[in-house]
Amino acid sequence: MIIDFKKLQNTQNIKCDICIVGAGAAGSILFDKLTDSKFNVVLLESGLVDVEDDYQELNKGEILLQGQNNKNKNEVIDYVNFRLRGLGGTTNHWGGGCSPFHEIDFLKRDWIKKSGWPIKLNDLNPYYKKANMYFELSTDVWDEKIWNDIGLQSNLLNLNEDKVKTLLRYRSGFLKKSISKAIRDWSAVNFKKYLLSSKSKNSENRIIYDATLTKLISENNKFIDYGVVKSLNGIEKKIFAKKFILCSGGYEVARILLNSGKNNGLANDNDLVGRYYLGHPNTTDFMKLICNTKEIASKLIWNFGWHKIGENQSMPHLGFKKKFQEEHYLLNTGIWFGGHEDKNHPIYIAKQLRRDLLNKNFKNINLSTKEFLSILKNIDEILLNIKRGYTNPRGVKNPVKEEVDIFYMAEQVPNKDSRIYLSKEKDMLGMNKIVLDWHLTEMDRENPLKIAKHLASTFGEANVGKIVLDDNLQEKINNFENFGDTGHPSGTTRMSDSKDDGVVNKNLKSHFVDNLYVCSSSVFPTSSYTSPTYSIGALAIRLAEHLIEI
Amino acid sequence: MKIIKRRKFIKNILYSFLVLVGFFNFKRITKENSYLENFLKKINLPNPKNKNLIKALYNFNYENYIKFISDYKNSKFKSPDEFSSWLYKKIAEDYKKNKIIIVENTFVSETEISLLIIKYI
Repeated sequence: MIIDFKKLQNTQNIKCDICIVGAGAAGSILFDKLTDSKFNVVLLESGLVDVEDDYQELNKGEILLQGQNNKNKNEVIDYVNFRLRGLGGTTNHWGGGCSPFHEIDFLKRDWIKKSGWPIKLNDLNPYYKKANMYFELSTDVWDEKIWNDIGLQSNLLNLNEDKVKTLLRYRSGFLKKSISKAIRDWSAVNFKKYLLSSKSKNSENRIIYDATLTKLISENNKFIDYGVVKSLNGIEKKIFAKKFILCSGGYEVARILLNSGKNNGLANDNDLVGRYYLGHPNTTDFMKLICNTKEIASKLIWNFGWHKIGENQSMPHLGFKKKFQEEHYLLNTGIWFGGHEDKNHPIYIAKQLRRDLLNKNFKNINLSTKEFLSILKNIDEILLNIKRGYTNPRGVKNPVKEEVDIFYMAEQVPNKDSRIYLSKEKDMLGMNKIVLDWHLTEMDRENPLKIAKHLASTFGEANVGKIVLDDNLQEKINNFENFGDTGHPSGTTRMSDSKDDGVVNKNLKSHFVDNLYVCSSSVFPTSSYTSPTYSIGALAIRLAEHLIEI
Repeated sequence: MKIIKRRKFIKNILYSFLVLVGFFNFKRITKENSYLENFLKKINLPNPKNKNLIKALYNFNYENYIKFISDYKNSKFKSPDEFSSWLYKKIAEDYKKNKIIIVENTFVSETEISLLIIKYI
């Protein structure tokens, strides 16, 4: 049952077994899994059914970079607009990127301080498989045989397989139309649909919107007595639950805990809540690959472009092998490629002509004799490309120029100074706003150049092309110029075996508060370079099954 | 008279032989140079605008440059393809072994620096 908090009839407070806070991917999955269990579940969502600007105001805060008020801070992170309040949370506008974290992400790595998870990839693998249902991915998407089964090659460019590996990352959602239309329509799964279609047998299970959990009250800081819930128009109620699960994301989980409890916040006995904030340092501008020929560039862009794989779509990228990362002390890094269309190529000219003819834009058709002859001369290649477009799952091979853009995204080294803390300023609901101080270590800033060198060596060895760096690269990185964060806030209530190192244990239960759980990217001790949502989904299923079992 | 004629004949033969040897040697050198020239036209190298940079590269990469020239001279290529294949392999080996430096913001291999010196010095 979906209820507006303002319209709750009685003046009584809310009571339930489990209170889930936040209706994004984690909250939606947990509600769906727990709704037909023995528990009476309430899901609180701060926003409305749809995303509204007034509610986005609640996200406002301050950003610092390396403790400084840097002029580039607003270009680095727009954390007001990329987090959404409303049913479905940020899945209302996410890119849909899905891939599991890698084996190396879970390991303790000597060259990365504070790395290592209390669980391993194998512990999470069964839950990734179960998460496929929610993310609308076919069951076999991670089977490496998929490359061969559908006639693809994972190493089309003969890159050194001791160094790099081509990896798949899917977009959440089954393809309902042709791949070109799907790419244009950007149709990733919005988790709101699971909440709107939720039909619980237990009428006490409720999804309540316009209900912001502003603080958790605990007399002894060891057990939550109740939570304070407010709506934007001033209604306030208490919520009593046997268990509280915070699913409100990397910023808000820390913010709620720091606004709660006594003195220094709740579950914060060791001053770790909000610390170890992890972003995903990324840039599109710091290097380019200049391919040796246009043909190589076209092949590369085709290889690393969108492909239809079964019922899903995927854009492969390049990652570095575990052993290679260990030998060269690298951060786990992903590389994506983007081409520039070669508008003088006969295939491009023919495609343009076809488009104009189909759209009856006869006025636009201004074909020179030279262009006409180039189409005739290359008619075999053009026809082959048309055939490929219809028959090959990888689709049309678009001709591109030699210059290829490189998109870099890496994990961040966990460090205590990278943190979220409370500002003195309050929002409309009386909650202290947050200050995000994004701190990078020297290793985070050196990694792009190291990666560039390894790419140069890999592409040089395979006779693909040369890596060209941007001018004053290191200075720009140090100054956060074209070097920013993405909307993947993680790490602020990290998972650990010991309460000295983290906020929650491997079952996502607080080390300090008996009835508090966290299910969000905030529990990641390290954050890989891939999008976090798929892993959050796997953790949510694992937590739901754990809660049902105990 | 006969002796003079014979000497003249031998001289002519010798001269013709030398011309012939010279011609074939010249042909071989120009052919090899054209292999290199053609290769330099094909390969994608940075274009240093500053002459001092080339001098600096020459000093920095002197030993590799000399070795490259000697390897090149000692190799006998029968076709441009054979030459290109040899050079591409050499360049690929450099990249594989991380023998690379940054020139004008571009990562370049040791052998390619030698090619840059040949092209621009």
